[in-house]
Amino acid sequence: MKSSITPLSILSEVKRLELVTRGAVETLLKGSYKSTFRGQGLEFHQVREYFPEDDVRSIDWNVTARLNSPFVKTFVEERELQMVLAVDLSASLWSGSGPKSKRETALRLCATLAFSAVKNQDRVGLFLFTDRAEYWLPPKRGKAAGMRILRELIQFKPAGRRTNYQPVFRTLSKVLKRRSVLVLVSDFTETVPVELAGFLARRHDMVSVVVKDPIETDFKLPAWVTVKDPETGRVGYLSPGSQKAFQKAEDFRESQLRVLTRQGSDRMDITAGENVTLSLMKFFKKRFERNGRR
Amino acid sequence: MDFHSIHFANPIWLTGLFILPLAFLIALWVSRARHSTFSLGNSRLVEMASGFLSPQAVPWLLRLVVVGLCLIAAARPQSGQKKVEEKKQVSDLFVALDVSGSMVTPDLKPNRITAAKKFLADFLDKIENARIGLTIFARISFTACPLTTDTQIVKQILSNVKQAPFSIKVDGTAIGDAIVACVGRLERGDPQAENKNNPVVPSLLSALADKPKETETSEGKHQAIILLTDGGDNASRVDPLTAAKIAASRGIKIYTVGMGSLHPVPALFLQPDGTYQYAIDARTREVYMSDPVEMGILKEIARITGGKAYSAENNSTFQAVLDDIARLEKRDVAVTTHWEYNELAPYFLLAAFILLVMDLVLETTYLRTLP
Repeated sequence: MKSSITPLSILSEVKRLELVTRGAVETLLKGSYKSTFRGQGLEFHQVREYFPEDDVRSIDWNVTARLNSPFVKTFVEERELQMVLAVDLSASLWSGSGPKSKRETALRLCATLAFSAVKNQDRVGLFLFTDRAEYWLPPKRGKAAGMRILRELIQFKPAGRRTNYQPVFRTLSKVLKRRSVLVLVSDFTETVPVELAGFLARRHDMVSVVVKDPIETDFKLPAWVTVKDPETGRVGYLSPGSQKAFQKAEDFRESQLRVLTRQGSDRMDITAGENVTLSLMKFFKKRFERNGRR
Repeated sequence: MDFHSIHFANPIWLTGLFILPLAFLIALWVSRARHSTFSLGNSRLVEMASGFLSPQAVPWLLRLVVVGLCLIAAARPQSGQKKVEEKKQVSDLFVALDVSGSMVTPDLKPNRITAAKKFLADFLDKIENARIGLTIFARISFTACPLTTDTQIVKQILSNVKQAPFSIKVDGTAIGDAIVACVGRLERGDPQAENKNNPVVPSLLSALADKPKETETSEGKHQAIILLTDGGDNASRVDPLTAAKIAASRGIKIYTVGMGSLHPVPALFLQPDGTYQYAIDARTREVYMSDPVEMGILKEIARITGGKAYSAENNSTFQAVLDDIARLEKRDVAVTTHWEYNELAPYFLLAAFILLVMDLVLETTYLRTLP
């Protein structure tokens, strides 16, 4: 990511991102997005003929009796959906061992989700945070809102460097009045406040997206490496044999994510450099299957 | 090893140690600048990484410790405070004792040789800080005891000395040869240096021809011969005065002591039965008289060598003579105190070497760094 971002380059970057994600949004993710994030309540749509494998419970017996052949009622969920992307902009996301940083991957993911929402006539908002609430863009419908979100994601310069969920969650719970799909994109290396997380997860359809760096899960170093925490500036030295440290860091992250999932948040993992579309499809599929069972 | 008193012979080198911390900081700075840091966005992980010593710094630390050890080695650390008091040998004394047959003459009581042995033993007790040697001579001379600081052994050897023909088979008096023998011994100094059977006279004479007067004997070392004899020189291959000149050329003083009467006295002769009897000249019907001491030669010898000639006609004068020599030979005791240390530098150098090897090994194996 370039350090000096000119308005023109931001524009081209936004355009590029839009083009890259549009394909996926209009083809691969077209249906799955819709079925994954459903609104509250169902709206009767129509009665149609029964086909094998339709749920027998949905058979409309009145119509069936009248027409002497099985008919089923179909419903459409009420799509009065709004999605809020809460994105961590702390310095830890800027780092990356591979060609792509966590932030780049997070950006791609957010762009895909935002355009999916735009495509489905959903309202989409943006909330940026570090160790404080940085920026709040209320949900709006339409392509312009999507483009705005993209622009802010690319060009916004956060005031904080570190991560602190406590004030962020508090602000978020005050700002978000309506039930929304709340996509929380972070690397979850800090402590998650249990009660605030529970409050958010209960009120909203919360999805915690964990962005990881490959090295964090790889546990393998070829030699001694001088590492620097971009948030604190702390410098340390990792030896090739420091799997234990990796394991502990990973364990901590898992424990924080367990806090979120236990409070009712959904979870999605993505590693920097991974194909965002494929990851999203996988996530949608998993979620759809679970919702179907419900 | 006594580590209580490690001390440095060249402590100036230790000042170099003050530069080492500075050098280490510079090395750290350079290695930091050379090696890039990897931004790892996981504060938990970075917290757990060791932040104490960078792997790039460890080889530098080792190298600087090596330099430090070399500096300490250069400062020559020494330990083991071993205080040694050395009584300096202020003089070498060689006693040349005449053991010719005439030494049994009883004008000194009980006879000349016994008196000489007794008074010499007393004399040896009075002498301090000197190496003593003993040569006995009659017609030939024999080094009974080379130079030694052990006066007891000299006394013991002295007590076993007998007159000719017991200690020395051939009777006679060879003063010149005795002096030369003593000079040879004094000159060699070290008792173990030469084979005793090696004839000293010819080698000394040849040495005299081309050897300049100045030798190590003239530089503060005091050497003297105490020549005790009771008769005139009658068997020398080397003229006594020549021998005295040789001694003088080596800076050796000769104290000469003429034992017994200055006048002829009746001579005792060893009888076949082992007793001593006065012998009567069959023709003149007179008792054989022994030759008196030739004080003229003795005085000349003393004069040439800067010594002193004495005549000891009876026991009391004999004792006074030896006391006088002991007084003249009494030197201030020069005591040198020196400290004996073990040099510790090799240990430091060894440690430095081991660390250097460790540095090389570690840097290519365990401490490989990225990049």
